[in-house]
Amino acid sequence: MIKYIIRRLLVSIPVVFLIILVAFLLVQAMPGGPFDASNQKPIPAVVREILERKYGLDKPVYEQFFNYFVNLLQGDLGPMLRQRGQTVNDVVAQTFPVSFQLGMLAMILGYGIGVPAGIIAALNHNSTLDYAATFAAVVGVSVPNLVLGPVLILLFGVSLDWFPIAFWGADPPFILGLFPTPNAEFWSHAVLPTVALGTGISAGVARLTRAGLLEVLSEDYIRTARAKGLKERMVILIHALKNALIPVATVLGPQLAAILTGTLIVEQIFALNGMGRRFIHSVQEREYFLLVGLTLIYGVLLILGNLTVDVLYAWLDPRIRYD
Amino acid sequence: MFSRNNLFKAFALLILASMVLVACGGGAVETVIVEKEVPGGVETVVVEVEPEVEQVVTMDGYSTTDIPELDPQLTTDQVSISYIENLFVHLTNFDLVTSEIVGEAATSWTTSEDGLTWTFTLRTDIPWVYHNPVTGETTQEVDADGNPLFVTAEDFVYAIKRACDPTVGAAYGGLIAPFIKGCTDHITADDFSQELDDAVGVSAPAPDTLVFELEFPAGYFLSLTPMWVMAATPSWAIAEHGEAWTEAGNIVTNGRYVLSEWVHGVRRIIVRNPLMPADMQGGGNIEKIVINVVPDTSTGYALWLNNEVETSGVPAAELEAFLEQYPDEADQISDLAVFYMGFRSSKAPVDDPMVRQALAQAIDKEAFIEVVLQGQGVPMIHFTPPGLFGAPAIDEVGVGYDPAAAQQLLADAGYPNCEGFPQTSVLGYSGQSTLDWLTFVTGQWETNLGCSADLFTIEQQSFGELLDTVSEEAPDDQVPSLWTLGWGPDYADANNFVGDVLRCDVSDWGFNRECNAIDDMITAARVEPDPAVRIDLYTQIEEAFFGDGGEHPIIPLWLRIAYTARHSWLDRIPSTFGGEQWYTWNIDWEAKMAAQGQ
Repeated sequence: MIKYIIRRLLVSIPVVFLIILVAFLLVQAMPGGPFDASNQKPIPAVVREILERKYGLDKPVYEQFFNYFVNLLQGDLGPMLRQRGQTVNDVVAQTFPVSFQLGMLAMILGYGIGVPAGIIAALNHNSTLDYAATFAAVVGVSVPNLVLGPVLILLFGVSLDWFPIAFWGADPPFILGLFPTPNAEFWSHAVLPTVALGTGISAGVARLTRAGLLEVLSEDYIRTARAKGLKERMVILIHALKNALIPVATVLGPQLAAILTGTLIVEQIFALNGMGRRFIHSVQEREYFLLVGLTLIYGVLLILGNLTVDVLYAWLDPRIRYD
Repeated sequence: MFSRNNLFKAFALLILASMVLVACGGGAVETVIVEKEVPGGVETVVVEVEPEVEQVVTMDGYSTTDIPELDPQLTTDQVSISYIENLFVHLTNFDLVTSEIVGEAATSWTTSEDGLTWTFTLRTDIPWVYHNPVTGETTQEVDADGNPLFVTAEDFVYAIKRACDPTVGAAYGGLIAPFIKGCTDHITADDFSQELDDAVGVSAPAPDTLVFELEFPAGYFLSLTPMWVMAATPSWAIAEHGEAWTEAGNIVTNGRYVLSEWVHGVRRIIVRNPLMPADMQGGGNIEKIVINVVPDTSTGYALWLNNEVETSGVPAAELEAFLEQYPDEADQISDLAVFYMGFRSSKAPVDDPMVRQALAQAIDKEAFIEVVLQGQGVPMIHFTPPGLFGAPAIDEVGVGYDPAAAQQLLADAGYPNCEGFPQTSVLGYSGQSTLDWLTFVTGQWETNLGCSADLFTIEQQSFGELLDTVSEEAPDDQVPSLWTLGWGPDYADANNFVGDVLRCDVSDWGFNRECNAIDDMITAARVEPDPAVRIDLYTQIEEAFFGDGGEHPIIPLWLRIAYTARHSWLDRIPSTFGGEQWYTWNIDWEAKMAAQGQ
């Protein structure tokens, strides 16, 4: 397994390079530039030239890429083009932890509710409990964050005044650069965004778990386990669930990468300074280096996520071996 | 012996319990020692008390973006401009009531007879200050010898030359460069040149005397002096910290407020500068301003409904309900931005001024504002908005909605009932509101001119792309015939509109106008020293552009006016030019606390 992991990591190196290259070229190919206009007014041509010269954007693309890559190897993701006092590293350090914290909480909530709900639904197949869980799952998947977020704000923030309407309850500097101080302020601010984001996750996970478990429960080896007199709880938790969770594990990796790099809508609605929001704004503002940097981070997380999924497979299903 | 499972469960419970305990944990408890009378004497007891909360008059607000830039020479956006207004003194400023230019760092000014030299006398008692965000202390900056540092003319010279420096990239340096002698030569150079820098026409013959030498006798130069780009900046702080000089803990300022906290993308806090001369403090009672970043106006409005912020934009879907429920807390504020449709004057069919006038007169702007903008605008029949020097009265000068006249003009141009009118491309910047705009306008042309909406191909692009697409270098066949644009004032003079946008040699907007007598009038108005003559010239210019039989290079559509929700405990006069003068605003603190239930 260790050899497999190392092999996968080594193979990822050219993949990461390709991600950087393609992202860099695509970003340059976008029409318009970072210094065309500001505040809906064109920047004077002479100033535009100055700024392009300052950031090396007047050089040929291959030279720009080479310079960028050399800096990247030294850990420098590049400057911010529209906020001079900041670098991309600064922005990532400020925003990634927020997205990470929200993402992890949402995943914990999502899987914490989704897996048990799916199990309960599968074990009570075609009962009222099953129909209720399925209905809740469909609603959860169907209601977009764009609707759920404002509803939560109006209900729990404005009308009931139970939770803060907006903002994240933790500011930089973070513990180990990533974790919040887990105080009351943090938890009260975390509730609404986590519910907004985690509901959809839990709904999807519940449906996958239910479907997977229903399929596994009809397998011969489950009948054998029951025939051998094993307690039903043992049959479900030890024998059936692990195989039933393989489809769930499949989506875990990409889902983790997507969630941890930020979700624009929830961050926008709850005014969270996360990566998702900055990613979208970087497209609008043509922040070239920020765009490439965030794409790189997403790519790396996706690779690591998929690797995690493969390792999970081996744990869930002993028949799967990579060596 | 615990099994592995039980150990895991115990550990999980422990984590959960610690989270609950931390969340439920109270704050620090304050105690005082009091003497209590008891039978037989006096007893000393320790009593728990509610910690005293310092009452600091605080304005809470939000903005949809972070501050992109706090460097006065680099700033281009309205959010940053408001902070610079409050953190730095400007050479002059606008009186909020009269909109006249009044002194700020400058106490008086004179012009030479030829109008080429402006001399400003400055006060020299405004301190440069540093605010320590950790200790909360504001101290005056001192030089190497320990002498306290005050704002002098030399600081303004440094700042203005910095705006002309080709290595700095000051966007608004490009705006002031044509006025100040030698500035254009320097800003267009490949690199910094000491010789060119020395030749820039700004000097400080004395600490309280600032002298400008102009390239031409600009009659409206004074209207540029309140601009943030010319605010004095601290050379030593910039030398020490480079581009990070504006970060909290590095920044040195001289305004009514100091930067206390700046968490990028989250929040910024400014507090009063206690070292500001008393007569410059502004008269407002707000000691602290906390602005959070809230990108979504709906969320911001929810904060306003919850009394957590003093003002908010109103989402379009909420506007009707808001005006019904809170009529006394609705402000209508104009930023004097005028939105219009530009023509490619060299491209058929809009190369004919009769066609352009017909298209302009066929649009019912009142209906447009009602239907598309929900009443948040004022129709414009010429370009320069009211309040700027030289602007005609808003309902004078220019042709209005007249479908019959429009039909006749189109017929005279060779397209009776729009027969033979070619396919015409219309470009708008991206967004649903622009699409609504274009749909309404093409609908008007169909209704009032008989030009089927299918004749107009509508496309949308981002603003930067749009500017690229319509550039004057692009051949006419690759450029649309019309496009949407808007323009807000940089300074309070009509030249900022008719000169900086419509003049024939301005290539930013792609109108491709031929130079003619109107441009001669624009040039004359720029250099005319007599204000009365300038006003008359601008009236003639607007008439020549937008009157009957005029050139109609654009279709001015509306002046933007937006509804803002404002709680009644905030007393303010919004600023029309430059940034908001928060130092003049007042909060009825008791009313605010009562509304917040404190």
